[in-house]
Amino acid sequence: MKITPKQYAEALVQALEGQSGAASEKLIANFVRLLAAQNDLGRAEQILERFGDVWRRQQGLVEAEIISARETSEKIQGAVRNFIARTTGAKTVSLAAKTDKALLGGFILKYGDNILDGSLKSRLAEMRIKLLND
Amino acid sequence: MAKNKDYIIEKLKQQIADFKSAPAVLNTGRVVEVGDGIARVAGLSQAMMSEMLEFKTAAGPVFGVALNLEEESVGAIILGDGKKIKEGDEVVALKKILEVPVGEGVVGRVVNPLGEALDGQGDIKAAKFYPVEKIAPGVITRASVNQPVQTGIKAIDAMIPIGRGQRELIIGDRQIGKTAIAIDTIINQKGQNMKCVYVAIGQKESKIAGIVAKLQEHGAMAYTTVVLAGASDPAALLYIAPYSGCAMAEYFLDKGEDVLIIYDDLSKHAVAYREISLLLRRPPGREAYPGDVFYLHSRLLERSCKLNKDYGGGSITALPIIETQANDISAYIPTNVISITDGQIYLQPDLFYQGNRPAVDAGLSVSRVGSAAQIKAMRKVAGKLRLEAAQYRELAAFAQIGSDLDKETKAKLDRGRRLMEIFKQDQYSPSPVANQVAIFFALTAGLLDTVPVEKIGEFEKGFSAYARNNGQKLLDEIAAKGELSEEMEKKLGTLVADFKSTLDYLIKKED
Repeated sequence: MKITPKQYAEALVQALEGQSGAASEKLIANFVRLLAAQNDLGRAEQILERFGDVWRRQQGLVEAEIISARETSEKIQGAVRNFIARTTGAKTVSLAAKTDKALLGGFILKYGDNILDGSLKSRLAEMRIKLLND
Repeated sequence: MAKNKDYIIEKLKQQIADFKSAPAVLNTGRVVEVGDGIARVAGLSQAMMSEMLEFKTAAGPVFGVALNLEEESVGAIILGDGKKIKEGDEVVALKKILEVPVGEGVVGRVVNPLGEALDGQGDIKAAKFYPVEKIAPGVITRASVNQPVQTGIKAIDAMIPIGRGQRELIIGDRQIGKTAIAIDTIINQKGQNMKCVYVAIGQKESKIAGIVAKLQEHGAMAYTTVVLAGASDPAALLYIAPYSGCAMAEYFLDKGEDVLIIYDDLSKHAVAYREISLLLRRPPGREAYPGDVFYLHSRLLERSCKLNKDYGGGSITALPIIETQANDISAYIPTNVISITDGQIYLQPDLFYQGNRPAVDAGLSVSRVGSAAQIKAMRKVAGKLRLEAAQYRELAAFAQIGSDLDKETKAKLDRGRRLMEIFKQDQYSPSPVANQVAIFFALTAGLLDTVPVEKIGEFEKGFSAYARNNGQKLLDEIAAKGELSEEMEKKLGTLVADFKSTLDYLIKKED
């Protein structure tokens, strides 16, 4: 029976729960040996990716990215963090902020696999389509 | 000029001011695999079944439909050019089912299943957008079928009449006249207060060009829409074509109008669905079709119905077409669709090659709505015809033996032969219902017994012309009232006798 990367990742997360530093190192070494025995070392990258997803979900950690036309202040970033925490039930939100002049205004917020597009560029495109069709 | 310019500027400013856009949170994913008209997308954890997806490619947005919801990915079909999509492209779920433009703007046009114009006459102006997938009307909203759909084909209108709101399957081998029946029916809907939708699934585009030209020639394009998913179109478009056509028909149904929709043909539709399902790695079943191929057609055909007065009283009549291989109506897809429809018109190759065209097999064909869908006049004269045709078929084999037959059998055989001659009809010449009533009346009253069998066809043509000049009032009365009173019967009898006495039909016409 084939073991999916997700199953490997979940197993690893469960195993590492509440373990101290030294014990964790031993566990990880064992895990790598398991992968070798199962001939699954080639999928190590995928498993690491899944591990990241599962770990974050378990810890209630959401990674988000906000791309805006101008610099965002701490106040705005805090409000965004609260919004994400409220809608996803996450305990911690790590927000990466970027700027992109091409947006003309507003921002694009990406968190988890959701995207909130409030950029002026997109709204102008929407308006263009609406005006052309009416 | 200045007035116009200012007016336009004012309007624009107002529209811009009124413009409200509330950006919504959308679910996204990334393309992991793409090819053969399908794409696998990672992410999209909140995608729903049959949800419309937008692939944000470098060359513009391409749309798709999510069909496979798996644990780690979503399998989607691509409605458009898959070549523009690369691995890693962003995909957004649009939170709605695929919609197509519907409205008066599609009448008279040739469109593709996404509602884009194919006839080069400009974009389609849509009144609304209707979803292609819809739950069929429930039991309470329906009414029983009671109005006829006059196909103009005598064999069908007499023995296997179709009503408004019925589903009647046209089934037969290739090149047997299935599309011809459908096109003649469309042509005969002129002035009958019906809109028509012809959905061409996997047909040769040259054939469709010919059909559109013929429909235009007969003035039928004024009330017909052609939805075309040609043979070289991706399987995804073939898959949604009939549902799009049905959505366009439902617009008129909701307005209380009657619509005739023809699916030509559902065999190719099932093959396209099989192609998509196998590419999406769904397990194959009998004949490699996926397990839900019955549901594929049942949910389409259940949307054709007759609604009761409280819901507008409109109807959609469906004429699905199925192509059999070597006459095998017990294959998988034919049996599926036969069990869904309210009857079938079975076309036999033997009859076709013997010269009986349309090659309708009266024995195997059935209409489960039957005479409830005939006008009273037709019921009166054609009620026994089905039985007579069946009896003739039984006796015809007998007659080939050539032995001495008693008078009654001979009479039945003669009557039957004349009936078969009357049922022969040219393509693109649908017969108005009053003419049909007249000729069947003549046959059942014995007025045609003295006409030689091989001259029956000419007799009928001659009689049509004669009636147009001398008896049009009577025919109009029959058509308007739908009844045949004693008095009208007498008048009709006199008309036929008059024509017979001119003996025009015995002289061959030089055309």
